[in-house]
Amino acid sequence: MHTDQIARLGSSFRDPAGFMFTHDGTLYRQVNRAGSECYDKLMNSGLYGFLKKKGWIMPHEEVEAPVADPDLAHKILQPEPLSFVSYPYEWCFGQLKAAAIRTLQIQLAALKHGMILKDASAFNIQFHQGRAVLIDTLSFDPYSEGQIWEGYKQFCQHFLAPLCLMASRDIRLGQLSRVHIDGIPLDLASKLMPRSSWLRPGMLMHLHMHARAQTAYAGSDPESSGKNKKSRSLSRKGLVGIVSGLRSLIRKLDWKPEGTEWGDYYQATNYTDDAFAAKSKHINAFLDEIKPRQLWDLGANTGHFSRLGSNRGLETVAFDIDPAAVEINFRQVRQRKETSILPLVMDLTNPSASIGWAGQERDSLTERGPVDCAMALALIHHLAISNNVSLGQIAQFFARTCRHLIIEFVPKSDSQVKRLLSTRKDIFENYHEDGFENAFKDLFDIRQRQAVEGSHRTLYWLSRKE
Amino acid sequence: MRWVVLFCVFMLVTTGDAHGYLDPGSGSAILQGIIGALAAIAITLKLYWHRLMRLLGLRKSSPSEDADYDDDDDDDDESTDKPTP
Repeated sequence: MHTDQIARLGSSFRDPAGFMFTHDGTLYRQVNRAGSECYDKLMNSGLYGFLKKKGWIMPHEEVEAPVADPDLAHKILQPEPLSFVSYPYEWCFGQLKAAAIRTLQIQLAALKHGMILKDASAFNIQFHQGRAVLIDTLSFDPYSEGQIWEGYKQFCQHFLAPLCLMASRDIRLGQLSRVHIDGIPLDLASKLMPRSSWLRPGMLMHLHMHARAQTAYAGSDPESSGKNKKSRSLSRKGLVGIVSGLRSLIRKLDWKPEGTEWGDYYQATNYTDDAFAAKSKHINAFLDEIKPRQLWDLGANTGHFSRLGSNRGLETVAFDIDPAAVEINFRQVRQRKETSILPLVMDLTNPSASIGWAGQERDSLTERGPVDCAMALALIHHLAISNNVSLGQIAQFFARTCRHLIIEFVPKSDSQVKRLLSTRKDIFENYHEDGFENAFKDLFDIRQRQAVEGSHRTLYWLSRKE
Repeated sequence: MRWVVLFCVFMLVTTGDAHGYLDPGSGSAILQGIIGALAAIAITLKLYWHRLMRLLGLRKSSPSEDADYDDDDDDDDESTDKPTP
């Protein structure tokens, strides 16, 4: 064993029960002796088998080697690989809701098996083959009657507060989770919620009263706060009541993706049906040649063209800035039980940075690449004209992001670009096909160029120069 | 509202041991005790209510003790996006 090849994950340091590490590009989990009782009970109580059968937990195998820290090690686990790590602040409303419900379902299952989910971090949930799964095998403790749920506050901050704010106030408030990496502070959520939320018992108790209880008892010892010091405990029945109450509260929360800028984008473009079909045909031909394993569709809208990739089994991530488009996309994934496509909210003019402790806990978008193949369809005018990014800077960004690029050039004669330029001065002298090819030619080889029939646009297949 | 919380706390509960890697937060722990007690009362009342209804012949079956654990459906992440018949 060469310990120098072992790298601990920057996000895996809080829980003494174990940690994640990589070795030769494979991800492992070390269960420390401190976590042995919890892990063994998870495996022996039938809980792991139940969760695995339901598809609610990331399955793992026990392996002999490599051992990252032999002084502490109890067991080494090799989890099934996840195709793309996403973060709660990149999820749409429906994804965060699915992750919240999954957490509560797992908590109820754990209690039934004599264990308790000790935390409730949204970062412990990932989307694997279209479904929300728990990835933290060490989140369970043996349960004893009377015990409280230590992750209750975390659950309310990570899930309940952003979901309530998105459903009742404004969908964009979900982005608060980017700044508040351990969940939205409940006093802030309480201030931002509409007054009518005080009339809803679930929101009243778990958000508003919760925020006030936190302020009232900040720093005090709960053991000494009662009338007598002999603590009366939270019964199992009460705990199950809290968890199932939260579940029904969250199930009732809804947000409908309507009336947004992009919601009806495909109907509003200048594409004729023929041009739409021609575009699909060219993309399919490019994908036939590139034969990528993974695909990132940057500016995917509701994922129409992403599905040219995912329907042929490519692990596809469909990014869009618009939470409504991502929501529609995710609902399609659920309805059709698709397993190869992951819709995510991403502003490409400000993509996810690496954040958290030491700036290394959550990876930036580019750190999660580079991807085999990226698509940028009807995107470049938004970057170049709406955001004033030069074509050279755009080429550099894509060179860091992908090996192959399928990109659509949208010229000034296109109605979408005309619309963008109608309210501002045209300062984009180099924004034309020649300028585009010049800007990309140092970093990419132009493999193929196809005019999209029935439109003024051109599709390119570019390959990064190695 | 603060007084309501304080009153509930003094009248009702404090909570059990906390020993994990997370700080459960004093206020959150205390509130959990209160809500938990209320929820337990509600669950018990619901059970008796169903039993009463059954005795009076107004309902056929009563919910099991386990009703609150159970999932309404197998794979649901949310109930709202199911196609309506």
